Amino acid sequence: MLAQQIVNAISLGSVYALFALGFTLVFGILGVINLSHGGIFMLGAYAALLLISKFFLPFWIAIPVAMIFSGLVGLLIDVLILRRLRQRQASHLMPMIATIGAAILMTSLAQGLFGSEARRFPLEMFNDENLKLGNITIPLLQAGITTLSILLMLLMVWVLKRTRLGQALRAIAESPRAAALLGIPVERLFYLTSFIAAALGGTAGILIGLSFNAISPFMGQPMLHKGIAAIILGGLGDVRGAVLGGLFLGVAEVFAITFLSSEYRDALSFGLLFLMLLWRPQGLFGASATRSA
Amino acid sequence: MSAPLLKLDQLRVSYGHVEAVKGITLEVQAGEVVALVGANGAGKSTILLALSGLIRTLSGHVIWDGQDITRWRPHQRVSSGLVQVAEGRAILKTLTVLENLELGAYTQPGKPDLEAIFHRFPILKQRAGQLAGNLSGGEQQMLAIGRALLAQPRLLMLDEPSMGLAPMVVGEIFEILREIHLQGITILLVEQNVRQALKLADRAYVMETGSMTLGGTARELVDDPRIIAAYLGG
Ligand SMILES: Nc1ncnc2c1ncn2[C@@H]1O[C@H](COP(=O)(O)OP(=O)(O)O)[C@@H](O)[C@H]1O
Ligand SMILES: [Mg+2]
Repeated sequence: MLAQQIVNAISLGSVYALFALGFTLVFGILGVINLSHGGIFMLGAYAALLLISKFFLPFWIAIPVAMIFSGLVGLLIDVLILRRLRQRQASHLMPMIATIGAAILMTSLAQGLFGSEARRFPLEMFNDENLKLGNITIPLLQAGITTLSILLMLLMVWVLKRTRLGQALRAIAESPRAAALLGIPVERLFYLTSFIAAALGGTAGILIGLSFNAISPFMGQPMLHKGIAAIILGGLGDVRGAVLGGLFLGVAEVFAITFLSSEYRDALSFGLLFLMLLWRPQGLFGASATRSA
Repeated sequence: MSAPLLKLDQLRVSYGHVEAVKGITLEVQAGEVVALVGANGAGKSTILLALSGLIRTLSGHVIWDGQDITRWRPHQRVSSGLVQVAEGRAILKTLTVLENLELGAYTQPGKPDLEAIFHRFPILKQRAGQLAGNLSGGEQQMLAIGRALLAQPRLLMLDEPSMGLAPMVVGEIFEILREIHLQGITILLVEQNVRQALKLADRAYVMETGSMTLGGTARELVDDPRIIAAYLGG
């Protein structure tokens, strides 16, 4: 029973972590809180749904295509909104407000195109076998979802830690200006970051859509709140922090549902967030929220 | 005289309504060391930032090796050999010394020749694995210079490399600049330490509140009563 819940918690938490990872990358590298990340999450889920149920693509093609589509939505938001605000050296508040606008637009668009009702994946297409480990049962789908989330996170951590691109991104995260003086094409890497972050966010949307088998135009907003909670728990802009924050939220939610009741799910996770902020205002890994221009 | 390596033509830069650089014309010939001196707030750093493409110019032109680069992006300028060691050194403190050096060669294809840098700055080799934020001021300046050299500069611009350093370390830094120059790299040096700067430089320009007030060979300027009164404490 407990072991089963731990498996569920890790599974949910890993998807939250994936979502939070994209969110924190944008904050860390662009220095912007992109409040349309939840909207991208939702559009990613719809893109996969459409590709699978209307274009009858197998899911192993539909998922990568939907990931790329999500990335392109993020790139578009960067080029149309964030880039202009960067050029004007707008205050931190402006990108937040502008991306709230983008999120509202995406929600209305999805409502107009697909209706307000929740939609479902044709899950017959998935193998409904279970993995059995002792007395723990893991549906194959859930195992796949968790594996994909974890692999994507490991890939991102590897890129950031071990590659030239990752070095350049970390340089920008510390100081875009110092990075530019080294000949790093900062603007181009801002675009790339927006793309990657949105692709991760969209993937989280697909995976949450699959695991709850429900997709709605309104699924982005609550996820955005969880994302904010996860990255604050972990320390703004910190990749390890976002991953741990996401996992932690997943664990908190699953245990709240198991031992209290589902109504207390959000109350518990945000209550923990509140306590965390009292104890460590900078989050688990946050050094401080300062950076040079 | 041959065409200059770098020429600023009537360059104007403003921050909002404040015009920080009011029509500056300046030349650097290949092989020279040119110093740009002047009081705090004169606009020296603004000129270097505009040369690196980090702030937009209001009007005027930057001609680099015969090409008008006024609208080039910062990374294009670095790739073409116009490299700056910025004021305050712009060290990436959360990265290691080694990573800072590797990023210095970001625009260069292939593996960076770190050994040459470690040979010149042995302390950087000892500290390669440490976070650059833990280095002393002088070590950070060496890292900044070593890192800039890895970008294969044809013109190295330095903004107050002696700032905040103990006098002995300042001497060391200027000795390094002398060697770099002997190696064939052209230097544009912004300094408050006018005495040291004029010892190293072939020519110098003097700025005051956004305008050029004086220019000439370093030899002439050292003996100029205006310079002696204002900067050399004579
Ligand atoms: N980011 C900025 N915003 C507004 N004004 C600035 C900024 N940077 C510099 N200035 C102003 O521009 C003028 C020139 O500054 P600067 O180029 O830094 O001078 P210097 O390097 O010669 O000390 C100063 O009056 C300074 O106050
Ligand atoms: Mg200055």
